[in-house]
Amino acid sequence: MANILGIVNFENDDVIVEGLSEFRTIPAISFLGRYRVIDFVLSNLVNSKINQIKVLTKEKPRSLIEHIGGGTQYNINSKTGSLDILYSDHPIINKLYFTDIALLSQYRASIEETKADYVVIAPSYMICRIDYQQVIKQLKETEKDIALVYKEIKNESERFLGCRELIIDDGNIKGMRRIRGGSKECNNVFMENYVMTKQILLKLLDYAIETSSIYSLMSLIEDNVTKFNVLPYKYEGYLACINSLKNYFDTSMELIDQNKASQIIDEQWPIYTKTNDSVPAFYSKKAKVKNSIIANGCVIQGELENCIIGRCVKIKPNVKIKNSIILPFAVIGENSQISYTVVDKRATVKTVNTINGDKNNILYVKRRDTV
Amino acid sequence: MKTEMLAMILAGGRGTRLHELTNKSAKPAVYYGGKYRIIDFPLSNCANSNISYVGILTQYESILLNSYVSQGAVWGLEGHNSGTFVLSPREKSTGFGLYRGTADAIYQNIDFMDQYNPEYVLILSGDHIYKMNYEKMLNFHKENGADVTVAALTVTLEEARRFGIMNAHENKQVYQFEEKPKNPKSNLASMGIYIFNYDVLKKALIEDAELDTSHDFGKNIIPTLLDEGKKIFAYPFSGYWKDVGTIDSLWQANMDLLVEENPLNLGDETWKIFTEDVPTSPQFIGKTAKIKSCYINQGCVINGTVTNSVLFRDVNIEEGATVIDSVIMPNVKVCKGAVVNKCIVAEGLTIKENMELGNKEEVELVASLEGK
Repeated sequence: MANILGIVNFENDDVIVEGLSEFRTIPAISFLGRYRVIDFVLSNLVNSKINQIKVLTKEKPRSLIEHIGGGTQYNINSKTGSLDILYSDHPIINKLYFTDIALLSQYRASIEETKADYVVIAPSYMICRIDYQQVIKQLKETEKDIALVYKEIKNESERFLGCRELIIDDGNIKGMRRIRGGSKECNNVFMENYVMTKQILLKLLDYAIETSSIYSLMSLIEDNVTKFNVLPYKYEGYLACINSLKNYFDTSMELIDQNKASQIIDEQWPIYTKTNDSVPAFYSKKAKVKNSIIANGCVIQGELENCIIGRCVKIKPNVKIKNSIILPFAVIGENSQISYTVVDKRATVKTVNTINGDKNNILYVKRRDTV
Repeated sequence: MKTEMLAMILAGGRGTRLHELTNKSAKPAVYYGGKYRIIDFPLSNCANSNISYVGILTQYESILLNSYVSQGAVWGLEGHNSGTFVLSPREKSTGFGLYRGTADAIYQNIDFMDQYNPEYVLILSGDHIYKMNYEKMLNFHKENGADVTVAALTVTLEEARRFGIMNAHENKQVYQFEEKPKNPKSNLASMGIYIFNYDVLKKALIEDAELDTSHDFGKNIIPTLLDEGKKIFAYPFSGYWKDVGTIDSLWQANMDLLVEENPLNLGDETWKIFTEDVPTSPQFIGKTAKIKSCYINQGCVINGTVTNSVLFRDVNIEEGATVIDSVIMPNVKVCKGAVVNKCIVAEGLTIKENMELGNKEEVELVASLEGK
């Protein structure tokens, strides 16, 4: 079993989940009621027996730091393992220069000092279930330097807009390009998972700095994909990308189906998260709940269908909510009717009690707002 | 370093009337309320009352209980000057020291208490469900200049016959203690929660150990101290308190949670009850689910009909299954067409298709499915 350093990368600048990411970074967004988006990548890493993890952050790290803490909830040994948050020592004056490469280079020495032989770099917003030990096994067998993980999709390009696809010919990567919506039947979505030895990563950092000070890891690889000794690693499991409000919404709705969700969460592959020590969910005599995910601490007195309800949400009597996501600690007052809406954390809906979006126009109620 | 108050939880009892539920684990480890074990209540009360050192005295079937309570971090008791400490009977130079009674259990751990040099010692039971601020009780103890303070529940005179009853003056100073009196004179029942000045406790325990008594706080220590003229006060407690000693009372205590605005109010963010955090999936409610008046923990998958019930983590109710007025412990699966009515179903069982369990008349404990 390889000794691996896990690095959780931040998102590209064009990844914005409208509204939600105004208040926290994407990894810290609440997901499926009881999780945060970052729980999935962190659980993938620890389930792949990775005990040292570094999380790169750009801005607004408070909510992330609060959530991941020292990492004991992810089963990381508090003495022999580590879960560090890496942030820039320099103020971010020019976004152009603030890249993952620039941040990793600031921490070059600490990466070099880790005991790990291999490095896995993965973003938080690709929701999947992947065992990185398997990737490393194949990397060793094929004697390649860098593995790029991709998934082949059919007629689903709309869900991966903004992502890159790998152009693969005869087992070799010929290039990368941005996925656009429309007609294409088949795409190889690049999951922005990079696996390589620590030495190769250090070499890449040096090469990037010498070549261009605004290189990101993605653009560096993209420009040199035919030059480097690269392995395309095919991933076969469930994949979703949380890079827009629509994708966040659609992915959440899809995973209400327990059969679908069991592709990424099951006993053998637990998804760890921070406990809130909430009580079990309470359903009153008048509750009617169908096809929904309910987190602990909720008090449900109304009607729900196709909903995801976060921790400690109060759904008052005579409320009807359909096709919506209610984030933790929100209160939905009596007689409210809501559909196709995301209600952010600690918001209260009481005066304006009818909020109806539609499938292609998901509405958003701001954090701590009262409407 | 001096410790103001050290807590000692008596958690050695079997709880015989809980039948198979306590075959392999002591009563304090029994499940309650969809995600808790009974001992979470005194432990969380300690954490919320700013008590840092908690000794837990275990004896009967203690493997599960010992491993559970030794994880102090569950209740936030993992800092430098805090912790939970499992105190099981041990072999000594004088022989093996089985605990012969509540007082003897504490007596045999005087060396443990001495390490922390406490001013006061709080004695608790690991068997009860309630929320209580022991810090307030300590203030009451100090204000009265008491030697011992006993928490007292107000009961009816009818119920009083089952308790240790304290007869007290208007200022709550106790002048008489009667164990299960036939004709109770007062309705102040001892809850088995005591604050002692440590010097008074230590002396009383050492003296009691020499005598041929039951080595019991209620029967021996408190009456003796009263006779010696020690100042004993009753601290009146009001709020939800339940001794879940029987299958009926365990079932009833769970059903109490289904009353909206119930007095235990487990959802109170300012006095959380902490418990082991077991990674589970979210709670999935399917398209065919019908849920009314329930308390349901994370990890459950519900596609059937569940009414008036408490479900622990990872319970799976299949489409076409029905659960009514029941308590379903972790990892139970209720298959298609099965009906569970007024039962407590023990951890890990699979109720097969079309199986019918329970009757409406009395609570049934389903601890195994052999012969069903």
